[in-house]
Amino acid sequence: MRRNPLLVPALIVGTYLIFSAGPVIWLILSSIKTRQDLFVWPPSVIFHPIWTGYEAVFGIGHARDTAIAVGLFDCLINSIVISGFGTLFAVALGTLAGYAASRFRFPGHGDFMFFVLSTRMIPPVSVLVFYHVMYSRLGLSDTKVGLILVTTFINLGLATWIMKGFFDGVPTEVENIALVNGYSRLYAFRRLVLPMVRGGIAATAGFCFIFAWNEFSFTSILATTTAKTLPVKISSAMGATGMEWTQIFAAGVVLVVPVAIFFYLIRRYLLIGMTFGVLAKTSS
Amino acid sequence: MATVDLENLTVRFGEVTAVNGFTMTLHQGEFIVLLGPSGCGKTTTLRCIAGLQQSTSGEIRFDGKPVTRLTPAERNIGMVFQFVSLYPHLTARQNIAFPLRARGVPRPEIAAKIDSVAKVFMIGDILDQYVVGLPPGARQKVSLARAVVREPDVLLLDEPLSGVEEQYREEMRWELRQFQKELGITTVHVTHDQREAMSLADRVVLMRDGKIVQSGPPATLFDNPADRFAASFIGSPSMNFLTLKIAAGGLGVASDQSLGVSAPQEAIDRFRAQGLNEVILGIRPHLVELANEAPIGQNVWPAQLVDAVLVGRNLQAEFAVGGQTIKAELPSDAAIGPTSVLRLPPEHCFFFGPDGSRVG
Amino acid sequence: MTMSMDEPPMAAARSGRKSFRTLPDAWLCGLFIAPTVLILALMVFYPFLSLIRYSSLNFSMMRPNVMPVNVGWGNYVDLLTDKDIWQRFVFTGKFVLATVSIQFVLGIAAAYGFQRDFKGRDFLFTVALMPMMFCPIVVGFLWRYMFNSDWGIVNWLISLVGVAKVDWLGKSENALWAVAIADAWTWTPFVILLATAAFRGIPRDIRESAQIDGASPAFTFFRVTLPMSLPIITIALLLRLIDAFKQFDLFLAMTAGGPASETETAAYSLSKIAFGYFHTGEASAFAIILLVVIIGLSMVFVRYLTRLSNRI
Repeated sequence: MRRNPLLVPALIVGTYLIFSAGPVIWLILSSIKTRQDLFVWPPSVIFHPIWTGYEAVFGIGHARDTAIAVGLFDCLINSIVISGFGTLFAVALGTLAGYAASRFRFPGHGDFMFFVLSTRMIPPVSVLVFYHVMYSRLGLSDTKVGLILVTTFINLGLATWIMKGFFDGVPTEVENIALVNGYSRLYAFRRLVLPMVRGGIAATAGFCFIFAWNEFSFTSILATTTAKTLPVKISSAMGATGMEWTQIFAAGVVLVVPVAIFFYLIRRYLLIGMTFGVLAKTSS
Repeated sequence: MATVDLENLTVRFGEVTAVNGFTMTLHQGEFIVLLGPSGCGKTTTLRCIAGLQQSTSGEIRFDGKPVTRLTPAERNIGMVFQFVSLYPHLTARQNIAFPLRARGVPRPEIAAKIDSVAKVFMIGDILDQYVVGLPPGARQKVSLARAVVREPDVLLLDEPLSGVEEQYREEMRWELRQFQKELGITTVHVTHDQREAMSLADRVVLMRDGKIVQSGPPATLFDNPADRFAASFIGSPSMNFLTLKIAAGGLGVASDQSLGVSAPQEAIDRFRAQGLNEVILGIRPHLVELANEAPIGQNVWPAQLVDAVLVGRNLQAEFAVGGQTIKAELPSDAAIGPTSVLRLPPEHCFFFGPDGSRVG
Repeated sequence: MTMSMDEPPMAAARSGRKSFRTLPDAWLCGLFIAPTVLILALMVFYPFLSLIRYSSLNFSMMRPNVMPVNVGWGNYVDLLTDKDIWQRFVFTGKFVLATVSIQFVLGIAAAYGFQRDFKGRDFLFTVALMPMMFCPIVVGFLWRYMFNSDWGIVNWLISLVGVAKVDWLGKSENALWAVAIADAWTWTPFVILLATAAFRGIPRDIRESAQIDGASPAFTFFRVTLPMSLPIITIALLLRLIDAFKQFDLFLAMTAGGPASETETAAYSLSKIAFGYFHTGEASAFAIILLVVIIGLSMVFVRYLTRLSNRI
C-alpha cells in the first residue's frame, strides 16, 4: 500500500495558505465595500463596489487633498529611497559584521553580538522623544539622510544576526582551501563565501525592507514634511478626512504593493537553501 | 545476504545515457567493485541498486524477487556514502541505532545488535562519542556499522575511502575486506581507484560510458585485459603501448621497422586478413626485461635511457626506443646505462587494433 | 565541491593594490565590524543615556519649563510596587507565549510542507509570505474588523460549525487570543522563511541515508531535520520573542488596551505613560525595566545558542 508522499505536505501547505491568504482576500474585498456592506450579517460576498477608499489614499476623486503640503508621489519616492538605502546599508554592514563575528572569533565577539541584538530590544516609543531632540540638534530632522540612518539602525541588528547564522553554516574549509592556494581572505570572502549565502542575503533584505517600509513610529516623529514617508502620509491624509474603514483597508492594500514587488523580484533567491552550524562541519 | 540480478539496466537523463544495458549477477557474499573513470556510470548503477535513482528500463532483483519498483527503505539495503553522512547531531551509538529505531525495533534488541556490530568493527570504546569529533577512520567504521546493523541483503559503498587520508587508506581497505568476509554480505563497491579495486574485489567490473568493458576476478583483468582501455586503466604503473606496422617482413615498430616483433604467423595473417596495417603492442612495465647480453633481434632492442627514478625497491626507468617510449620496472640494482638492451617477452605481449579492441 | 577561481593568486599581488588584498585578518575584521559598531553606538548612546538620566527625574515633556525634580529611584519604586504594572507584565508574558507558540507550530509545519519541489511552489511560497508585508496598523484594523462580535467573519465561520458568537475583543481572555492570532498571522512567515532555508540546507547524503535507513518522512523530520536546524530556529525564536514584547500597534488598533486597561501590554502601558500622561521620567524608568526583562530572557537563549555552536 503506497501513500502518496506528497499528501501530508500538500495538506499542511493548503491549510496554511487558506489561513494566510484568506484574510488578505478579505482585506481586498473589504476595501471596496460601503459601510453598510461592511457591517452586515452574514458577511457579504456579493455587493456593489465603491472606490472612495482608494480615492482617499490617492487624493483624487471625492477626496482631493488640500491640507497637505507634500504630494503623494513625493512621499512614495521618499519611501522608496529611504527604505531602499536603509535596507542596502543594513544588509551590507550586517553582512560584513556577521561574517567577522562568524569567522574571526575576536575577543568579545559574544558581547558584541549581544550588544547588536540589544539594539533591537528598545521599544521605539521610549526613545522617540530623545531622537527628536537629537535629530534637531544635529540638523537631521526631516531629512532623507536622517531617516536612512534611522532605518539602517533599526535593521542592523537583525541583519547582523541572521547573516552571522548563515555564515556559520558555510564550512571554513571553503576559505581555507583558497588561503592555502595563495588567495587573500578578501578574495575568498567575495568570490567564494558570499555567493553561498545568497539565500541569507535575500531573506535578510526582505525582512529589512518590510521593517523599513512599514516603519511608522520614528518616521512620523522625525520627518513631518520634506522627508515624509508614504505610510505616514497616507495616515495623516486620512486623518484629515476622518478614518473610514474602507480608507484604512485601501491604504493597506496600496502600501503592500511595493513590498510585494520587492519580494517578487528576489523570489528566486529566497528559496536557496543554506546549511547551518552543526551540519556544515561533517559534510564534504 | 542475497543474490543480486541486474538485467539490462539502462538510465537516461534526457539526451545522455549514463548506464547502457548493464547486465550482471552478483552471487551471495560476493564483493564486487564497480571501477571506472568519472562519468562512466558506476555511481548511477549503484544508486539504481539502492533505489535512489530510477532506471529508465531494466530489472533489478534481489534473490529472484523484483525490487525495481520498491523504495530504498523497502529494499533492505545498507549504504555508505562518499562523504560519510552520519547524523552529526547524534553519538555513534545513536547513529547505529537509527535504522533500527526507525523501523520500530524494541530497545533491548537494539542494544544487543549494536553490541554485536560494535564487536565486529571494534568500535565499542567510541560508541558514546559524538560523531563530529571522531577521526575519519572511526567515522567510516561507524558508518559501516550503521549500514550493516539491520543485516541488509546488500551492502552498497559509494567511494567510501575517497575522503580518507592516503596513509590510512591501505589499512582501511584491509579492514573493510575482513569485515565483509566476516559478515558475508553481498557487497557492491564503487571506486575510480584501480588499486583499490584490485585489492578488494572478488570480481571487478570495469565500466566506461555506461557499458561494462570487462568483468572478472582482478587477476583476469590484469593478465588478460579485454581491450586497450582495460589494459591501460588497470595496473600501476600503466601499461606501455607501442605502435607497430605490419610490413612484408612481419611486425615491426612503426617508427623503426628494423625493430622486429615476434608473433605467431597465424596472428599476423589474421591481422592482414582483417585489413589492419597497424597494431598496438602492449606490455606491462614490470614484465620488460633488461637483457644487455642478449643479441639484438625480435623483441630484443637497443634503448636509450631517458630517466630513472628509484621508487621503493624498484627502479622506474624510461627508455626511448625507435622514437617511442618504453617504461620498465626493474630491480633497484639493475645495470642500466645510457644505452641498454631491452627484451619484451613475447608471451607477455598483447596486441590491440587501432580501434582499441584486443586482437592478440 | 567545485569552485571556480579565475584570478591567479600571483596576479592579485602584482596588481599593485597591496592595501586591500593583502590586509591581515585582524585588520579586515576590524574594518568589517567598525561601521556597524559605529552606527549602533551612535544611535544608541545618546537615547540610552537620556533614558537613564530621565528615569531618575520627575519630568514631563509637556511642561518643559517646570524644573525637573530628582527623585532618584522614585520612579522605579513607584512602578515596581504598582500591582497594575505587574498585571501588565503577566499579561504581556501570556501574550508573548501565545503568539510565539502559534508562530512556531504553524511556521515549522508550513516549512515542512515547503521542503520539496512541486509545481507552483515559488508562487505559493510568496503568497505564504504575504501577511508580514502589511502595515501593522492596517493588520490591526483588519483583524479588529474580522473579530467584531456582531459583523466579523470569524464569528460567522465558527457559527458554521454550530458555535455561538464569541465576544472576542471585549473580554481580556479572548482578546489575548485574538491579538495573538493576529500577531501570529502576521509573523509566522518570518519563521517559515528561515525554517525553510534551514530545512533545505540539509545535505542530500543525509536525507538519502535516512531514506535507506527506512525512516518515514515524519521520523526523519523530527529526528534529523529539526534537530539539525536547531541553531537557526533558535535565532528565529529569539527574534520573534523580542518583537512580541514590543508589540504595540496591534493592541492600539484592536483593543486600545481595553476593556479598562485589561489588555494593556507592557509596551502599551509604556506608550500611555509617555504620550498619554506625558510622564517622561516615569516612562523612561519603565522603558529601562522593560529592557532589563527582555535582556534577561534573551540571555537564556543566547547562552543556549553559544552552547550549541561550541559543541561542534
